[in-house]
Amino acid sequence: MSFRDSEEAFDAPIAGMSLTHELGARPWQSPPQYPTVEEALDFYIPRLSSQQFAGRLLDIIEQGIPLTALAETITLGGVMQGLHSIDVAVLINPVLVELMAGIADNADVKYKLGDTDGEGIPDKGIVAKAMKEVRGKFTFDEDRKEEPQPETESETETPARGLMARRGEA
Amino acid sequence: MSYVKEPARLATINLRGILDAEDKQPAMPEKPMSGLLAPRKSPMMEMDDQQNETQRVLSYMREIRKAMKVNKDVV
Repeated sequence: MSFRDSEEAFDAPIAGMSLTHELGARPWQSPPQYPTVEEALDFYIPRLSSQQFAGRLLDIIEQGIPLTALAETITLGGVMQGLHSIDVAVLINPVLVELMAGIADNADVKYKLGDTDGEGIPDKGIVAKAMKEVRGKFTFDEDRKEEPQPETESETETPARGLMARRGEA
Repeated sequence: MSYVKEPARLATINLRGILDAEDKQPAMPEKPMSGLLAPRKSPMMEMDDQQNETQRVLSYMREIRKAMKVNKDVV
């Protein structure tokens, strides 16, 4: 697969994108609110283990979203809000995964950790549901078959021109 | 999986692996050496004993795992 074919090639900032705003205007360009692992965990753990959030979290876990992906999403949001740095995000990720795994275990909900590469593939049930919704909106002509078109001569004879062209042909 | 997100995933997998291995081993109570003839630690050795970031994260994970096993009605 070439570099252009991969989706990740387009999932990156454009060169010079960071210069399109005043330096320091973005939340992640100013000092983080919680610079240490402990402070960041003090922020996240009460929120994640609250009754209101845990209910929604369990719904998402039941759908088969890997816990590592969830933790990454949560901490990435924190970085974008200027709550903590990327380093702290990487460090608190395992702790958040452990907490979410504990919450899921206590609720008897099966979860995916995301520790195998195959888990990045979306669940078949979710894909089937999405396809069902799409089929409702659009109609596909599955019976229509492409008829083979007769080959036409695309190359037409162009008269030779220029200084080096033969005189008899021009 | 994006290469940007990979370090966090790898950290999670590796640290959980360490904790899982610890869970399988029987618990050994640590007894510090005491008495007049106990070896004294030099300042350099004490510096080595200080936890680095990874060890601190591992201890938090350990505490959370313990707490979640004990208190089933945390949430």
